[in-house]
Amino acid sequence: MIEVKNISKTFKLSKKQRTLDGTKNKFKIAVENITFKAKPGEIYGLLGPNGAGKTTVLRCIATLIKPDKGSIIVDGSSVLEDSREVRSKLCLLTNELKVDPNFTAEYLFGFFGRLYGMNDSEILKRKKILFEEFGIDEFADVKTSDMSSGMKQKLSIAISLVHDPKVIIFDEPTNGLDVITARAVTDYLKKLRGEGKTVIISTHIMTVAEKLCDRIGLIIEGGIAAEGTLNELLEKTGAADLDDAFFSIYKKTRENVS
Amino acid sequence: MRNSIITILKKELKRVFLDRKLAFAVFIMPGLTIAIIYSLMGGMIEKLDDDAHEHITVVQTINMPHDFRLAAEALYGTGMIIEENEPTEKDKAVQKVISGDSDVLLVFDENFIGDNREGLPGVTRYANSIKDFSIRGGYMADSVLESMRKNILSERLGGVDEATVFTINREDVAKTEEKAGKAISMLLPMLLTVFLFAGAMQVGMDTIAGEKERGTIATMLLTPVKRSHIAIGKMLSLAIVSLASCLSSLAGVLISLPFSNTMFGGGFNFSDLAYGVSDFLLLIVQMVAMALSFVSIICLISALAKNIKEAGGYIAPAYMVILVMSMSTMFMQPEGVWSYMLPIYGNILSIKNILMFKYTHTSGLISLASTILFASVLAWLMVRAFYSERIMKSS
Ligand SMILES: Nc1ncnc2c1ncn2[C@@H]1O[C@H](COP(=O)(O)OP(=O)(O)O)[C@@H](O)[C@H]1O
Ligand SMILES: [Mg+2]
Repeated sequence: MIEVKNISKTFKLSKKQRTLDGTKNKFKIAVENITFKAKPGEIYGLLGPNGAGKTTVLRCIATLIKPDKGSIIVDGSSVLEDSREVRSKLCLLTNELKVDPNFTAEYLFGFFGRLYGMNDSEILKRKKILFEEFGIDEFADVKTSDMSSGMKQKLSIAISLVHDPKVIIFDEPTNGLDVITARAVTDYLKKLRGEGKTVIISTHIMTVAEKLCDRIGLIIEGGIAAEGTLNELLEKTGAADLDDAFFSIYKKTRENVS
Repeated sequence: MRNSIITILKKELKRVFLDRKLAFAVFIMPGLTIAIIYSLMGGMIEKLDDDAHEHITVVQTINMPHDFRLAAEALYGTGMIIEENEPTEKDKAVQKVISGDSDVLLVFDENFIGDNREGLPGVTRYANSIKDFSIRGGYMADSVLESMRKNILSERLGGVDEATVFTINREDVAKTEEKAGKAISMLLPMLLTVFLFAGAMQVGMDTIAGEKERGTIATMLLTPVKRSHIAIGKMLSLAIVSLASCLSSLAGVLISLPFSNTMFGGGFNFSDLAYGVSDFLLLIVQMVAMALSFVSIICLISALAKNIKEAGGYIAPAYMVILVMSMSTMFMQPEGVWSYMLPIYGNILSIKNILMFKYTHTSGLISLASTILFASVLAWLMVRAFYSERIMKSS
């Protein structure tokens, strides 16, 4: 269970970032007053265009950055007050997760297991399950620098799941993956949902949200513009598909702003 | 979760040992380099010495009085060949000194020891100051002339004692162990400093800035481990690596001793270096303190840098400053407590003092305290950096 309440995050922009963005503003409000809940056994999706603030929200939940205001509770633990407890309950997956090139899969898995405070037999149990699930067994003793990029990706996912987290957060799960791997990943997320995990993903791809998510939060320019199941969103907008629904809400939000 | 520090420490050390190139650079190279440098230098100096002993000095003369030959034979025997030339051959003789065919030319005034002459007789010595053998030959010729003068004087005054007037006896009060200590403390503190720093630098940039650059640190930040523990684990592993390369350098010195003692001027044996257990302990304590301060510098810079290249760019000037510091102790021995308050510099001075049997606890403790304070401040800043969203945002 994740409860995000009224969180806002503003970044201070460095000179370089200001020139890159072409703005004179010293600050960038990345997200403002975001509130939503994700429950066990469901996949919650944050859907929105690039720069909407999805990654910022996910990083706040994962304790990598602190929201300026608001609160986040992960399975009863507060992100702000008990960040280590929160980290032991969740994992944050992205397609940019890298594995240390100097070690074998076997070693890295054990290393991270120990960092999560697991003992050897717990690690062994998880390794059996995950290495089989992701087909890493054959490559367990290969240095990761000698692995294909697909294998490294799978290993990084397996490592992130070593502690069997209750909450799985995946930033843009299908980004940069070929269709077959993307399918494997979404199937696996469904499997986790079946196990009663709380899953949150972010995506900018309509079909991913449509097919994978039980509930969707439309995030536009740092705020949640609409929320609900696919059907609720279609009803609300009278649109035929999510694509149309998204654009009708997008237009309305922009009109309100200006 | 103190265990997590150890887990991280082990991983970092494993990383160094697994990488053969890195392990070689950190553990073998320092010792090997020192052993080779010391042995080569020692060997070269020994060879120069041998050459000098084998060389027979050739002295050309014009108008040479017979007393000179007698004095030369008495002093150098067959070690000096004397050639006589006609006064008309002077230019040719000078040419020979220039070319190195002979070492010295002595031109005596005509009728040098004769009775009926006006004023004092003189002798002109030609030597070539860019040729080592000629310089040495010049001094030898001087000695012969001096001895010849004494012979003439004692003849005139009626006895050797009358001519000698008084004798000089020169005693060296330096203990042999101190001489050996001075010799070894010339270069060693600098070499230790360099290897201590270089070892930590290579590994440190990779383990911190490298992990940021490759993005692998993000996975670590997502574990429940405290960020301070991650930082400390990495720092400790670096300190161990840095000390290991330093011990390797010390081993290099020991290996090269049999070949290198002449390099320090000879005249003593390295068995004169009677360092006790306490000296080695003091040395190690100072080295640990120095290693910690180097590690804190390298860690802080690596944590602030975005990638290895940037870290290297910032570490280079720090390395230069430390190099200059350590080199300056080769030539200067500052007095006073102030110099020991300078972190790192005070350690180098203390190490030098230990090697020279001149260590005092006051200066030693001051240098330790200042270095540890310095290292703690930097380490604290580094841990702060690990908590900063801005600095650690590489995920
Ligand atoms: N560390 C940062 N410093 C400055 N601006 C940032 C930083 N992270 C994100 N932003 C800005 O915040 C906004 C939201 O970014 P992000 O959450 O990454 O969006 P999304 O994941 O939806 O594409 C963007 O305008 C981005 O430029
Ligand atoms: Mg994003």
